[in-house]
Amino acid sequence: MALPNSPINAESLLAIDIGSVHTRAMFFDVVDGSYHFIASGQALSTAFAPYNDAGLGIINAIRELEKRSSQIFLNPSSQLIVPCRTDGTGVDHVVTTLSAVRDLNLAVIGLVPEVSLQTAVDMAAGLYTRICEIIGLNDFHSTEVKLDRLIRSEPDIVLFTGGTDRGAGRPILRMLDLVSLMLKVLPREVRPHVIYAGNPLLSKRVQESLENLTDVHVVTNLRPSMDVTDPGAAYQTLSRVTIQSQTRKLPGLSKITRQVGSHIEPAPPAINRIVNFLSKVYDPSRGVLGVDLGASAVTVAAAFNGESYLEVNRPLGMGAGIVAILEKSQLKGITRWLPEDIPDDVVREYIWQKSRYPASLPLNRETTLIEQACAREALAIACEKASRRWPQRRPQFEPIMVGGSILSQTENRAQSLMMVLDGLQPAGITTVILDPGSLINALGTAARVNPIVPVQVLESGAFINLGSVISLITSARPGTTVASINLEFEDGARSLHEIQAGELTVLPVRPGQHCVVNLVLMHGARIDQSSSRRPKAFRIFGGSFGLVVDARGRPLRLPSGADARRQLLNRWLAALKE
Amino acid sequence: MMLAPITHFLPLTNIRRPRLLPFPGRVLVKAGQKVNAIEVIAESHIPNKHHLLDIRRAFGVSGAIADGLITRQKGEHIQKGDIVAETGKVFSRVIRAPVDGSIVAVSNGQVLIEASDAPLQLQAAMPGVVREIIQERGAVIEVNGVLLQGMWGNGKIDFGLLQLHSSNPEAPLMVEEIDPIMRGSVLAGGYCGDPGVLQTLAESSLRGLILSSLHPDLVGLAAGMSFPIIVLEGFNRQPFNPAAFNLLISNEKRDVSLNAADWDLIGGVRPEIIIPLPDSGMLSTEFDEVAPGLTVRIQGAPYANLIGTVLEVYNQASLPGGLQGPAAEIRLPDKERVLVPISNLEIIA
Repeated sequence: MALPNSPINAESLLAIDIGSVHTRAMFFDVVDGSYHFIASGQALSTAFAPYNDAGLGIINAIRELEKRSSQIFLNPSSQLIVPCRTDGTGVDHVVTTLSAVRDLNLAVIGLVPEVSLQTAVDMAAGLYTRICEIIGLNDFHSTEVKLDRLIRSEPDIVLFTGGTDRGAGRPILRMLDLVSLMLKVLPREVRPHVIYAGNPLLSKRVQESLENLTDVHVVTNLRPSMDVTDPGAAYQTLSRVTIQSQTRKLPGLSKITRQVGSHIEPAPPAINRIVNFLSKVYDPSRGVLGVDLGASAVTVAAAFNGESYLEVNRPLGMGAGIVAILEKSQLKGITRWLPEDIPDDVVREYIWQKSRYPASLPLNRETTLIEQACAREALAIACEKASRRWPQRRPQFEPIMVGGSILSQTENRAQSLMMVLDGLQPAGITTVILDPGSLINALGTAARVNPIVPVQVLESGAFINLGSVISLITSARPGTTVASINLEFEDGARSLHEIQAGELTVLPVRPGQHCVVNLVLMHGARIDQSSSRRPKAFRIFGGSFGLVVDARGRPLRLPSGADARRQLLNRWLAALKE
Repeated sequence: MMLAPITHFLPLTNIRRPRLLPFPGRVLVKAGQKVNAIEVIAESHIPNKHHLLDIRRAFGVSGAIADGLITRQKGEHIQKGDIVAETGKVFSRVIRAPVDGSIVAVSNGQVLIEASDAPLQLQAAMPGVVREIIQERGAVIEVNGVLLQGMWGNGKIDFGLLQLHSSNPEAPLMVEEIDPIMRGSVLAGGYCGDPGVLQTLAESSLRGLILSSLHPDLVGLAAGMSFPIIVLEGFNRQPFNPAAFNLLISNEKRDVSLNAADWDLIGGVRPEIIIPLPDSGMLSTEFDEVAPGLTVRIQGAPYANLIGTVLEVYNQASLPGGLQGPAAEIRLPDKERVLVPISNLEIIA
């Protein structure tokens, strides 16, 4: 990937990521004229009980970073040294991403369900909010009934939208009456913030009606016209308000602003920023996918030539959110991924126990396999839900970036790649990139301070290229040859390989090595769901696993018999180890 | 600094807990007052059902004019049939209250009546003395006694006489072993994997149930029980740990209170069992640095729920599954030494 170079002002940067389980401190600085990821430190997060002081975890993480980088960031009083001093201690900028949050209740009030309300709901899906009530023009209940529902939903934030620019006014005023009544009824301590993102002709009226009742934020219209959506300003304001609300509700977070300054944002917009940027750099017809599998949320960020689709799934994850995987997939959905015979009770009990002790790590092979099976299902659940809003149901993303401790902290990278291939079941030709530890969150927020940092760090090899993957769609009987692949390397060497249906095949391409792939498909196999055309020759880079051809079919179907299924799962994993 | 949370199994400690309404209300107790666990110490109301009288539309006037015709004020209590607005003059038209209630808003020609409220009552959730009043919100309650903290609760509160199902901490709770004498008490009963046990107990007048562990498939059933249920060890089939069992057996026949609040991993509220004692104890802390000599409970197979002693703490160690991270060497009861990640430990104190 060739990215533009720019003259840089060489200022070092510390990025802190506060997760619900871990807090990470990541250091970026200029080496040989461009920004690199230098080192990171990690500690258990302390934002929540019993610690109630996010600063403790931050200091511990930075102390770990100091050991690994031989750099000093804290003074003897454990205060961050900002900016960098002449003796080299300290750092010039600090940015922070936050995913250690409670869900906030969001009430959405607007006019037309398919217009303003839908845009508002889609926008809110990209943050740590839970839609507690939706009220639109199609709600024919009396004002009293709507008022009672709104009050009972206990909103922390009201997102009030509706009316195109120069559009409907009266219906918005009726909704304004409703919001005003609610605020008057509620005690001041529990009144929600109000974000108004509707017809700008009424902005002043809304502001004046509500400003004595609660905090009001007026932003540009979400739907300036029927054909145009403009959620950017509303999203940024909602993001900022959620941080404010979180710091108010969680005593451990209010202290950190003194430590880390004002560049704090929730993790999802940071991830989205990087994915969105890459979607403009890579093939605009494809799309870029970023997935972060956290302890209590799975964030899915997809972008197609600058058009973003961001979705946060909570509670769903590998810590406190793990029971949600069991509820959605049921036990069979999880145990089908186990390559060994593990009793159902053991699986169920482990999942429930893990939900109570989300920071605990699997200590043996059995529990590691259970967690990795859950990870597959979490990826599948989150992406299936997110895909309902994408412009195509099964896009051929390039690349796919994945992150999360369960994916990055494995015994070997084969396990990481298998979880991604099984859980996401990518389509077409793609590259799978692994984030070794919240770098994508860090770079997304760093971009707000210095946009050069993510550009150069992405180019620097900080992320792990697991491999190029060709996914074939085939209904041929397992064992049938469905493709012939001819690899042409830069030194003129060639190799020819046959691909059997039902198998994962690793082709020998060294990490970073270029080659041209000529693919001949047989027996009805295809790469693109919508086209049976023979793909033209294309170029790939080798990753940790070279070039992987996944001819297991889409969607992946596993044998119903447990023994046959386990044999197959083990055979596939073994293929990646070769 | 490697920190770990503390789970308490204490024979005597000073326990102070704030009990607060989510929004302002009325505090019903005074500082120094003795309370029991189920006593209501504060109450508020949740605005629930409203009636909106649109005076401007009813009289066909503007909002400003309608405001002048409204004869009531915010905060007034009214009864059904009371006049709320009238035009005056010779042939006065009136608007009457359709229900009993109180007026919560008067604005722009509209009157909002709150017709009924769902009372929100806050129980003490523990026996003790009211140490401090938090104006309009609640109180801090204090007691000295035995404290056991659980890891799951069904949200109920009650108290009664503590009875043990068995002198064997490993004995599971079975339907056929439920003694009629146990009814009306708080029963400490080991592992529960049989829905029939809960269904039988539901028909008794049990005041509470303490379990070592609960089968995950019974969580829904347990959540619906009318009496508090607290699980101490978890969802794997585990007996009571020795520290917890010793406390329960040595305090049998004493009054015990159960606050079976479900564990809030963010806010920190946990299910708690309290047995008041006449002696004074020290306040306990909620987390500490992991250090040699401490007693810890391990999470995760193959050492799930085992209690051991910390021998050594490592900043960085090679762990199972290819992981690297802070760890501690733990000596188990059978003298085996194992290396466990710090994140899998809770200090028992």
